[in-house]
Amino acid sequence: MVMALNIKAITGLYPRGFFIQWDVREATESGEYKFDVYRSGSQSGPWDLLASGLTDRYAYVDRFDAPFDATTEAVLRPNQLNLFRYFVYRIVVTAPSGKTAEAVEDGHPRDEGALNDLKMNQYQRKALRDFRLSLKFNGTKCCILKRRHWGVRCDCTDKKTREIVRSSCKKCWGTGIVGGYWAPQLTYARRNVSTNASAVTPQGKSDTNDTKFWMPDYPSLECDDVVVFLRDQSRWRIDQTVGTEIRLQQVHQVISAQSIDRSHILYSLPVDPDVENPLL
Amino acid sequence: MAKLTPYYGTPRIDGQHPDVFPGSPLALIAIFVEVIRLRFSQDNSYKLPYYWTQDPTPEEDEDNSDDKPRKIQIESQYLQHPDSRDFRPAIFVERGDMSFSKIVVGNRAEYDEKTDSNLYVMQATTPISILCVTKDRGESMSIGEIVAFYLASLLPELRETFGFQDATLPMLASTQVYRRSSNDIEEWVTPVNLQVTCKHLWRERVIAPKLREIQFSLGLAPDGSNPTLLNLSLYKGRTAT
Repeated sequence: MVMALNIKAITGLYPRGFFIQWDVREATESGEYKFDVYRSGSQSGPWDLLASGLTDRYAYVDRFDAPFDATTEAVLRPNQLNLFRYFVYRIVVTAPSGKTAEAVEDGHPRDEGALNDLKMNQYQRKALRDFRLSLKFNGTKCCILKRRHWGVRCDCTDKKTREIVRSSCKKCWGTGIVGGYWAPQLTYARRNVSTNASAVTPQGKSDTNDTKFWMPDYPSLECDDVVVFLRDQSRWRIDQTVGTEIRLQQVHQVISAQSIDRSHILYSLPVDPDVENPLL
Repeated sequence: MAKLTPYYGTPRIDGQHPDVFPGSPLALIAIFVEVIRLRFSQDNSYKLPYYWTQDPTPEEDEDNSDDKPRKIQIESQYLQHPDSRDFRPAIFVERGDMSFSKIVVGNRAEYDEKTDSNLYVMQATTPISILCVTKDRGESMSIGEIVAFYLASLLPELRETFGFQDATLPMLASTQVYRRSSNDIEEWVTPVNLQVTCKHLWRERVIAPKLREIQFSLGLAPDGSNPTLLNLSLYKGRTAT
């Protein structure tokens, strides 16, 4: 299989920049993957190199708040307040063996009608802003642990079959990739009341505790990612994600998650919200 | 090594409830729970990344390595009040359908003329299923393999100690998803299956001669003057004449 790069989302953090998230498919090699991030005004370039040789990343924030300088500010800070200005991003990944793959994606609305419907774009931005603001009141602080899918394979994984043979390893936290999860990302989420259910089955008592979260549209979450609520230190594994969209543009995410049992090794994973997030 | 105290030659472990008869389902489950616990406890678990203790609460510094092994839960498959719920990795012991089979005509092994009693015999074959449940498929296979080889190597001693008529070599079944309910978290199970056969013996002693002895010792003539005793003595169609 050929390694491929997929830009999952380009999310506007109006007017501070863009959040670009990617995913490497068929990342079969063990080792450090490096990423170069480019930006352009068009698909054909020319490309400005924003960052080179990024490691330990699944996302990059193209930050527009440059140091204050009256002479250069107008150039460094693109205007994000208009509704028709978008950027094109190009990511190049270099595998440990030197193989490369790249992806180009623009932040245009995917719906052609929405592209020219400025009023609709306005509504969409308002919905995004309102939702993020509302979380400050009805949400609670949480950290997102995005599961690593590429990187250095852990010793607890069999090299030939790539099966994890020790699930409670503290080097990879049961993921098979050293580190286990990317740096925790602090955010807010609205958590529904969780449903506790205990069922008697022939295989023993089954206790499940599931809930739903409403979260901002970035970072894009996937199954097996973990959400840690800081207030009660409860940890949840994501089972299902549903993106709420306006004309194919994501506004927020609705997440179904299962409570992780307290004996799980993930409860030993320290999540310090005071640590500066390398992304933001 | 922890000490296991069997009823030598009897399929039961010492210390079980009196209602649990040798060779009964609970006795068989207890044997295999204890025997597998032995493999994962104290010096038997040396250089294993898992160990068993009565208290399943994880230790602060355990990391599933040879030096700092992870606790493992080993229990009967269904516990009404389990010590720990959803603890993984876990090994659960369960039994299948116990089937009785005839090995002699009418199950009758012997007749004792003096006491007018019959000795009966039959075999009970029970499939034992040992479920190795973990969060990862590879780990489930790995633990299943430890259990299967341990039981295979232990089989002669197991037969001798617990008086099993026969115990088949274990079969390491395919690893499958372990899902108790539709919204269970992903888990994997590798069953290790084997069959044990126990001999069940019982003696049928006719009660009439005994009753006659009682009647004579009490000085009661068997002429119908004591209807209660007479009714009892009608067992097996015999009359106390």
